[in-house]
Amino acid sequence: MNLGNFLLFLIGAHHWVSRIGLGAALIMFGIGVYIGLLRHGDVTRWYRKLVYGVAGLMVVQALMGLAMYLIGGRPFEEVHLIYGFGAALALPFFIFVEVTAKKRPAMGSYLWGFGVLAGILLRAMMTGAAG
Amino acid sequence: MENIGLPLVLSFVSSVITGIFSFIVLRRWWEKRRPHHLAWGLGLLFYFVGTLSQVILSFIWSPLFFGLWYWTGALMVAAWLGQGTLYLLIRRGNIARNAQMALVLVSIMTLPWTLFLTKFNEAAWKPGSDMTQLYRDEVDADGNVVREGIMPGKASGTVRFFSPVMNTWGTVLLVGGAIYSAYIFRRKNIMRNRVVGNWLIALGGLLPAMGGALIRLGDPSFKYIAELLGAIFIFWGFWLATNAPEDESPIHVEKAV
Repeated sequence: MNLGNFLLFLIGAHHWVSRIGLGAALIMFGIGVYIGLLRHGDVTRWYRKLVYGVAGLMVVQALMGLAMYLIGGRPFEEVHLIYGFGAALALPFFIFVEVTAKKRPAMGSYLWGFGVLAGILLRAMMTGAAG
Repeated sequence: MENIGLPLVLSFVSSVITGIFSFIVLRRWWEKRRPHHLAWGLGLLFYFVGTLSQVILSFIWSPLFFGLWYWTGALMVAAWLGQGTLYLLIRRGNIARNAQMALVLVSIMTLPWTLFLTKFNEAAWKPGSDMTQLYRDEVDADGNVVREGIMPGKASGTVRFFSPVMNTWGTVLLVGGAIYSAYIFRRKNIMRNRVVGNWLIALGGLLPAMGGALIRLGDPSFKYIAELLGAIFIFWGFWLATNAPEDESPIHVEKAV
């Protein structure tokens, strides 16, 4: 695979991972509302594993963006780089608050986290590709 | 030397005072590790960087210091001071810690955005000028640019979009915090120091924000006096609020009801 084909592959993957990430963020936000606000429960083990999964996906997404940048690809607007940086950092901050929280339940951290992540991903999509 | 006037002198005094105050508050945080000390200390540190940048920009053009002037003054100071008040007043759950994480995220996203991705028009800068009057394009009612500024007049899609959001957030917390603590105090007749302290911090945070209105009153030098008084009121408020006895914190008031 030459660099041109690799770049095309990354563009496609980056496009779809952003949509999957946004969908995952909204679903996780909804599950968080159900567990935290409706049932007044705390973060469960499987929920936390899923949070780590989405956080990992965002890191992979940011690395794909970095690889494309290094190959020579450029986003529609430069500020897309800032949103990408924010998307990779958003969840780890709130994971830190949740895992170190002395006051339980702490599902609120992930409601903040996924709310912020969804907003950043939406703006990232609007600035990533032309048209 | 014609650049040296009362506004510059007041800005210089403000930067010295806020530098000393931020050091004292951050040292207090280092000793006691209370999160509201850190938030207020950072708010004052940003205040210091903003006023220092203003002094430097009176003499020379520097994209770095202009970026720092905008980032600290328009985006950071009010939000971080408000965050300190949030820590002091809302102790339920992890609300204050989560809000701080959102603030940290916005802070580290907007810093490179301001410094590296925002184009500054150097030609609009003049020595000895008030940056608040030069920082953006002046447009007429029809949207035509009357006078070019250092940054574009359009806020949408730029880092300037965050300015009203951050300032509204910070101001609501500062003023709302003062009103809330006054309400608690009136109900329970306790925490007088913390109430007065929060009112002073709110006043100190509002004074520089009123700079634009003060300029419109006719004398831009009011703005610099307001900045200086703002720094003094914030520190005075911090001093009173953090010297309140810890066993009279709001959480105990709520439990006592």
